[in-house]
Amino acid sequence: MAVNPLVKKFMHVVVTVPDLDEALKFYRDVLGFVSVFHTRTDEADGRLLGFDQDEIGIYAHHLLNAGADGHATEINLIEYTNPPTMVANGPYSQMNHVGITRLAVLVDSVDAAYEEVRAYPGVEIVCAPKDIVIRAPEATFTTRWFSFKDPWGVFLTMTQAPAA
Amino acid sequence: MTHNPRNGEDMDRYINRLFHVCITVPDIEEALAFYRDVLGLESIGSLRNEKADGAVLGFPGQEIEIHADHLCGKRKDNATVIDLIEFITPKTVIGDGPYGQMNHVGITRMAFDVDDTDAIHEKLLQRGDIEMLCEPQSVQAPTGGILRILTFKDPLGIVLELIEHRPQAA
Repeated sequence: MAVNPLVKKFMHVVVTVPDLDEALKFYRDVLGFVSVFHTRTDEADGRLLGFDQDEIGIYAHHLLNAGADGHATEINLIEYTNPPTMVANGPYSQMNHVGITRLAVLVDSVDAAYEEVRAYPGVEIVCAPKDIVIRAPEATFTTRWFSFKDPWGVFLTMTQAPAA
Repeated sequence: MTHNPRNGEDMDRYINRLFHVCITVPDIEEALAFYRDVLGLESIGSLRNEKADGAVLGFPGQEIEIHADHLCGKRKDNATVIDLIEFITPKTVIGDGPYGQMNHVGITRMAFDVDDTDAIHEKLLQRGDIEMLCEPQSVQAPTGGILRILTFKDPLGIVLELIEHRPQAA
């Protein structure tokens, strides 16, 4: 067991994108996340992020859900400008690939969210909304989910509060 | 329903919050030995040999089997959960490993709010298997004070960041 919890809070998760303004059109304008901070600099610390140069260029927006309290985890969208974002083969295509593979977000209505998301150009629906039965030790409940890849290939699932 | 005044249009914001972030690992017990026993995240739910319809995770028509633990830090109110998952069927694929460079497109990094970056740095050094991206650094916080920051790769190669906020420069 953990003797001494080092981690107070899961603070943010970074999604690296090739074009931040394009990504905002989806994450902010369609999904409805709110930008709470942004920066554009040619003097970000490169060593800190594992680059072989002292200064790197980034353009970033920090996103929170609307009405989030101070303890919510941010999504930081980052476009690297120097060196630029590498698209290579894209994000992990399979969910059983080792690494940080997926974001899950909570919505009021999976079906309403599905209609909005599927209409956005470049979105790939992986699985249309369906009910999944979760058998936890205390109870069995049903949750509704759908999954998709954003226009840059990042895998997201959406769910709503479970029905008893 | 709420509306988004910032965009000057009545657009529904339907995201309540970031619910969880999934980390796929080859061995759940080894991952717990780091994320729970070293970082001190608490497991608030555990599934073993859970079988599920694979469609939602992109395995249509297959039954998948996983081990999973849901982890959170000291602050649990509205906290986003980290979902550690070991795939059994189909098995976790290592491939080229996690993204080697932070400017690779995709979900590249996670950051944790901590009380004492330097103390954790010492603890990580003692393990001997943790690759530091750089030594702890102090940077000006946008909101005042300084941030004490450390970046490193977990035993699987996933880049993590620790951030301690010191209200006044020491």
